[in-house]
Amino acid sequence: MEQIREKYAERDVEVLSMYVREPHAGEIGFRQYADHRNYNHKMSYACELVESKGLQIPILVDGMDQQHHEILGNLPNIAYVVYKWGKVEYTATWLDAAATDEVLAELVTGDDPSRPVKKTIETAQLGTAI
Amino acid sequence: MVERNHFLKRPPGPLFGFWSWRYLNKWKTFRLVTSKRVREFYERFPKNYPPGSAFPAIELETTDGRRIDTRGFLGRKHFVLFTGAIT
Repeated sequence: MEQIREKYAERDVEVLSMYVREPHAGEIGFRQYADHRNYNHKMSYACELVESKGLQIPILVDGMDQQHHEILGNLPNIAYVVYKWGKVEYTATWLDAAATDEVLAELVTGDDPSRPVKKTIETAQLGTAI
Repeated sequence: MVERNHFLKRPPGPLFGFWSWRYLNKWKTFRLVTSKRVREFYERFPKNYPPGSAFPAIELETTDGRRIDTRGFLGRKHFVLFTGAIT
């Protein structure tokens, strides 16, 4: 998604991530992580994510009540593309970088047909969504 | 052309989306993904905010101490919002 952020930064597209609950805390690859105890704990994990991955994408941190995540569907890795006038353009139960790239390419090409953009990102080669 | 209300049962990526299972407790994950509660989330999702509907305002604090309100993009920017975590 960092590639997508960079690719569309000059074309009036903002990429945001919302940090939500840890779905696999304590499991095989994630033994050092526990369920969030409070908001500060949650924020510290979100900051760790930013640092460990070197993320430039703004990470919004949902509250402990998960209010926003529940409104949006409560699945771990959902995605929405929203048109600049506030209407939903695309939704996905799992983030798919290639599909997101394709939708954005169509949107920004529609905004300015004199500067067409093509899809260039392939999710199949990615191991993680972020 | 990509389906605008894109329904994926598993994460995309290598190994048909099963790449992440080597990091997970397989039994716990199996119980989770086959549970009635999670099935209902998947069933409800396409009707939540389908393409063409108005997206709800989201205002939250970021890791760098800012507050972002998605209403601030209105008329100026398209945006992508996705959810995630470390695990």
